Order: sequence, then structure tokens, then C-alpha cells
Amino acid sequence: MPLLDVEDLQTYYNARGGVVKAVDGISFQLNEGESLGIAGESGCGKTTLGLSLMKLLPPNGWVSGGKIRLDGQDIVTMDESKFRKEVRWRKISTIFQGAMSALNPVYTIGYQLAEPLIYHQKMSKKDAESKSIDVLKSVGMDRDVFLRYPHELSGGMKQRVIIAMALILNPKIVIADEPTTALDVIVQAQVINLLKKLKRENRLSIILITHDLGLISEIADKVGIMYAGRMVEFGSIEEVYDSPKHPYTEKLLKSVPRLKGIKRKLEFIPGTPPDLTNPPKGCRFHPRCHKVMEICSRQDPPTIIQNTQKTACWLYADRSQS
Amino acid sequence: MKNLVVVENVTKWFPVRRSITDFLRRRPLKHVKAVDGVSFNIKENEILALVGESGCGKTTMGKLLLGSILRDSGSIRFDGVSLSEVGLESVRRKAQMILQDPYSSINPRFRVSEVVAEPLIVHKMIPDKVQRLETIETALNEVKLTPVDDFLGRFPYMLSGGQKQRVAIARALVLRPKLIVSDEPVSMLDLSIRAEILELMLSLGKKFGIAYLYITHDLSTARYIADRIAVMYLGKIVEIGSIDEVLQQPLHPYTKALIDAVPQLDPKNRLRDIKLGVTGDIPSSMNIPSGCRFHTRCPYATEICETVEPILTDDLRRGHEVACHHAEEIGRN
Repeated sequence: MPLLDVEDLQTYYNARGGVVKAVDGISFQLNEGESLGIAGESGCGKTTLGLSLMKLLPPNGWVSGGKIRLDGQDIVTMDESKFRKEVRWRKISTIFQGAMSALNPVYTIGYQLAEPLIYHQKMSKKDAESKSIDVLKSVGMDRDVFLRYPHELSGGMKQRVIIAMALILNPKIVIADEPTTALDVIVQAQVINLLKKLKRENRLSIILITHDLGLISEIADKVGIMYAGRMVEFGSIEEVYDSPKHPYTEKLLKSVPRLKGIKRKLEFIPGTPPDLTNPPKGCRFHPRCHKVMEICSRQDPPTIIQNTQKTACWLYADRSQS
Repeated sequence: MKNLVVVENVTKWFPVRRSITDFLRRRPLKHVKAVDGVSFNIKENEILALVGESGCGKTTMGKLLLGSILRDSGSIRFDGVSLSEVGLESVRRKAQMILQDPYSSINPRFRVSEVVAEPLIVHKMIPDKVQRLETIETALNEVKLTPVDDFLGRFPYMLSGGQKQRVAIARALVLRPKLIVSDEPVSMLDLSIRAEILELMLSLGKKFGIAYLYITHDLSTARYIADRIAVMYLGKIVEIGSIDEVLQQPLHPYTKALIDAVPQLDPKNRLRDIKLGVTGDIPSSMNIPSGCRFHTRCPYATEICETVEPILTDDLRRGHEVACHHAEEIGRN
């Protein structure tokens, strides 16, 4: 049984212009210890996917269809108090974007770390302190950070504290939404190495949500490419990066400037992502696609499976039928 | 090629506000040494990338170049004349800027035509309205905002991020500048649009003979666009040279560390840790370390680094300047 099984998830928002279908029919599975990268441009629904998994959608958003099974339990239908008591932070937790502002400036790091242990797990203050210090050590920080205030820490250290907070109740899955934006490259590299260590030593599943395809290749075993609320390609990172099948994935990979190897001319995708209140008919990528066919604008593309790689594109439809 | 910009030993220190107790105790005024003795040049039609971590002074350097803030000491010569000899207006006619955030660098109440007309009006060029409109249309054509008629009357909120950045480029382009200072012009844009804007900057640069100072923290885009690269650390340039040579054979440990820290697009990456060339965080530019300012984080640091500040020199390789006591050793590995 997979650790996380998302089936035809639909998450919508009420907005001024109508209903925004931010996530519109996404399915994937993740096994224990596996890490997943979700990539896509801004507005493709990747952050909404993360919020749906945590049941932290804003008031104007709701899951309108589909299932999310975590350890066999459907969390979409689970009521909030049960989810809060049994699932959130314990089985699935999140590293918030923007470490600089996610900490409360008037409490010590230690207080903010130990709080869930004292109130949720009814630990004694002493036990909570020693557990917090253990977690701080596991993210590579000294025990004296426990008594410090956020303003005394650098950006990289704050990000480590945020990671420590996500780990404090030993979750199996951590969702990291752009965990390293606003960090400089060297600090980013330190944070990446920390995530690698947690993955290796604690068998932690990381769901990394980012637009940085390089970052994904540092962490993820599987990768999902999202476009306009849909998953257009999904598979092992080797398959997707080395032989992308969907035209969007292909172009996206070719639009990244490389630091090493031969300097190639960059490719780009003309146009802009669609408005999600009124997405294009058929394949949502067809107005920008360089391999567009007549059928693409009429009908939703089928999902073709080859090895671990799933591609939602008409290009491969014939081959699978024959 | 002729030098378009010659920067010599420029400094800019910003005073830090003292608290009342500091003032009463007569503690000395502290300074953020944003730019602390920087020299470089940009040739005509050349793209120089200025890279470094946040707080290294690269943005301040760009502003100094345009005279939008004034330097404390040193000299900046632009197109043969010193920046202090001529009025800033004549410099700005030839040197323009593209900023990071197109959402805030364009007046939201201006139509696209007004945004692009603004520099012409400020510099009292092309007073004839019909001619001016033609000039604006040409500029929009050049940045491929077509059909032009469709865009002229739009307000910024009717444009996507990439289109806004094109308007910003058109605004910079309309005066036919010799230099464009571009500060992180693509870092706010989506991946698929980034490449398009870089490509546009390159082709316009070639077509009109524009030189760029490309300020960024992103080595990969710098490699794509630039001819030469200057690496800044805490207000000083530590290495400068042709982009391919510096990226392939860096001589400064900081440059080396920056290169190693960038995640590459390789599925095998996940199986190994990133090699970390340096430790710790960047020190505050109020308290710059003695000697080589990088020695506190440098894996190669020895005694000399703590006391003697290395000078920028191309003794080791012609045209590839580096400020490091151990450059020879690093060049060998």
C-alpha cells in the first residue's frame, strides 16, 4: 500500500471572476521513504496541492472532489478536529515558505519548538525541552539556540528551525514549498544537504514544491510536472529528466540555463499560462504547444503509461492503442 | 574595443543610525561598507555580469554607476568623461536601467505608451508628438510587443510579468543608450519566460551595440548572457575575468564555492551531497574581517590571510584577475 495515494483531486477557489480550478484532477502515489518533486510555473496549482494535503486551504478554497489517502485513511472526508489531533504535524507536516516571517518574533525558539509537544503530546516541560534539543541537533544546530529569539538567527538558521518544527512530531511526510527561496546559494546548499540527510537517515518522504528543476533533482526520486491545474507528466526523475515525453516538460527542461557542459541556445515557451477560471478546452497546454495537433483543442488528452512514466498527451495515444 | 565605463577604487559607505545611548556615550558612527574599493571596466557592447550573495554590494554598485546614489570616493568615467564633470542628465541619456520587479518599476497609472514616452519627455527629445509616437512604436516592436497598437493603450495590470518586463526594456531602449544596468531582470519571472527575456536582451545588445552590467545572484543565467564576470564579496571584487575561464577554472575559493553550490539538472544529484566549499554565513558589512575579508569562511585560509589584504591582480593568468593569497594553489586543483 502506498503511503500517500492521491486520486483525481480537485481543489477549487471562489474568486471574483468565478471559480478557479487550481487543482483539477490530479492523481499520484508515493511510497514510504520516497521523495517527490512537484514542478511548474507560478499559478499552476502546485502550492494549492500542498495546502490540500495539509488541509490548510484558505476559507475561499475547498476540495470539491477526489480522494487523498494517507496511510490508508481518506483525509478529505476526515473532520478537522480528528485531522488536527491525529494527522497534521504527526503524519504529514510542512516547511513553510519564507522562513524570515514564519517565526513569532516575541517567543524564544525553544518555546515555539516545544509548544506542540507540551499541548498536543502532553509532555512534561523537561521532556519537551530535551526532545526539542534533540531535533535541533538533528538539523545541525547547537543546543543554545533553544533560548535564542528569531532576530538573533541568520536566514539559514531560521530555515533550519522551521525544518526542526516540521520534524518535531516525527511525521512520515514533509511538504516543502519553495523551502530555499530568499536564501543565498551557499546557504541553500546547506539546507539541501540537511534535507538529504533527513531523507537518508530518517526515511523521511519529502514533497518538494518548487519551480527550480535543479533543486528537484537534488532531492526527489519521483517528479511531477504540473501545468494549469493538471499533472502533465509524472515518473521517476531519471525517466522524466532524461527522456521527457510531454512537450511542456521537454521545453521546460530546455529553458533552464546550465552552469556546466556545452552552452546551448535556450528555448522558451511562447505565450502565458491560461486563466484558470476559464481554461482552454482539450489539452490545456495546446495554445502554447509546438507539437499541437487538431485533436488537442477538442478533447482532454489520455494518460499514457510507460514504465513509471505517465504522460497526458495526444502524441502518444496511437502507439498505446496499437 | 574602447572602454565605455572605467570604475576606479570606488567606495560607498552608508552610516548606520546610532541609538541615543550610543550617541550619548560618544560611540563612533558605524558604517555599512556596501562598496569598499571597487575597480573594473566595461567595454563597448560588452556584457559584464556582477554576481555575489545578497548584501555584497552589487546593487549599490549598479546605482553608483548611474549616479542615482553618489560615491564617497574613487572615480567613475563613462564614455570618456568623469561622472562628476558632467551633469547626471547627460549620463542618464546614455545609461539606462532595468529593475528586478516589473510589478513595481512601472507606474500603474500610466498606459504603456506613456511609460515608454517618459524618458523622451524627461530628456526633451523628439518634441513632435507624431514622431514621438513612431519612436515608441518602434521600441515596442523591438521588444516584440506586437501588434503594437494592441499594447499602446494598455495599463500595466493588463500585462503579464513577462510583458511588463518587455515594457521596462522598451523604456530603457527608447533613448538608444550605450549602457543598460540590469539588476536581476529575470529573477521574478517564470522559467519559460526567463529564457525569452534573456534572449531578447542579448539580441538587442548586439543589434544596437549596447553594453550591459548584468547584476545577479544566478551564475547560470550569467553564464548564458555575459562575456565577462566579476564576483563580489562584502563590497569588494574578488575575481574578474572572461566568463568561461572563471566558471571553468575559478582561482578564488569563494567563486569556487558559489559554483559548486548551484544545483544542477542531473537526476544523479539526489544520490550525493552538495560539496560545500565554505562554512558559515556571510559576515555583516558593518564588521568586515581583517586581512582577506573572506578568511573567516575560507577552507584555504592561513596566517597571512588574517592580516594582509590580498590585491586584485592578473599575475597568474592574463586578463583573469583574482584577489587571493592562495590563488596559485587553487588554480592547480
